Amino acid sequence: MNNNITLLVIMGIVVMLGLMLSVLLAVMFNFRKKNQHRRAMEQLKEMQQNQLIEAAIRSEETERHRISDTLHDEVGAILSSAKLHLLGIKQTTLDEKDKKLHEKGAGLLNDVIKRVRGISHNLHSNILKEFGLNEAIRHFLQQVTGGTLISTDTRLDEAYKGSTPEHDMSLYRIIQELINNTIKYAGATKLEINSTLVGQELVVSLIHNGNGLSQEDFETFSFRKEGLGLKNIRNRILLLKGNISFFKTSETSTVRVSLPI
Amino acid sequence: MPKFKIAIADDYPIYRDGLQVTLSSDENLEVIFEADNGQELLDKMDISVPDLVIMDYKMPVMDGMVATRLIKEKHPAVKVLVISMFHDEKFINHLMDNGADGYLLKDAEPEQIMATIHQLLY
Repeated sequence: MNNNITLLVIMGIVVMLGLMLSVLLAVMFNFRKKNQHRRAMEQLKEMQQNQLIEAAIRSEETERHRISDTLHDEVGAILSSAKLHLLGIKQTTLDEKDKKLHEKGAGLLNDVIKRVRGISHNLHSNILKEFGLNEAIRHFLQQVTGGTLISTDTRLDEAYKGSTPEHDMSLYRIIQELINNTIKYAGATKLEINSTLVGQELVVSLIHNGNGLSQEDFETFSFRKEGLGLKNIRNRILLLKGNISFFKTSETSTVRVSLPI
Repeated sequence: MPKFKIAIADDYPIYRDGLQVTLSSDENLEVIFEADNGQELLDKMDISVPDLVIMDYKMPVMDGMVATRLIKEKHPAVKVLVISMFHDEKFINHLMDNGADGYLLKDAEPEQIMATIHQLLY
């Protein structure tokens, strides 16, 4: 009789333990499933966000290319032709006043031609496609700092032969934006751009003697509406799975961009 | 003295007009035909061969780089002057390697254009 009771108690405990274990397993399974679902949703969200950034960047590039081509080819041809027509007027047939007006008009036309060419090159660089990233950086730097008081130096790793066109275009845009910001806001008189290929990573550094951004500034401004250029940089870095760091000392400011290639 | 025969190839007629104005300053130069692209230029050169071709680099159908190479293969005596908007040194060297005899920017002064043409023809 006692044995039967003991057996029943043991069986009861076993059943209870079994039930508790089942409940515990069910809870754990449910928790794991929820976690998996949450992770999948996060991945999906990140993927969708990257797709949106990619689409925005691609559409921006297409538009830049289109405007650049129109300026370069159509507007450029019209302006150059206008110049040839204007300068085709024989100076000997003009009186002194008209000569001066003619001269002034020709000067203004030359100025417009140069500016249009500059805008077109900033919007889209054929040099990047034809001669690669290093040449495009050197050319852009020379173009935007030529005629200014900023002295420049470049030490670009020639071992880097280029990645995909989209990758190089994004990297070029990041560097272009950083150079523009330095010229516009930092008040620098010396600017140096270096690049090093380390294994499967390209590291580009911009070092200048002006008042550059700190990491905190970048994080703050790149989320603001008015910091569109920095936002573009952040998006491109995110998409290329790279890193951007800002360092400041009392004498120099450095921006370091590292990207897997 | 017979006039020097010139052919102009550019997909923008408005620029061809501008060049005609500049070329008209020398009576010894005669534009024998114009073309919209490199292919049209080569087709027209099968009928009439100029002494000098002035052409743009960027053209539809056939660009100035390919056209320069083909002209030099078929008509080595014809001088080729490329006038374009590209001012990169490497690009210009590449063009010269393909056989171009001269290169000028589209916004060059008329005096510069005429001096280069005279250098190539006289």
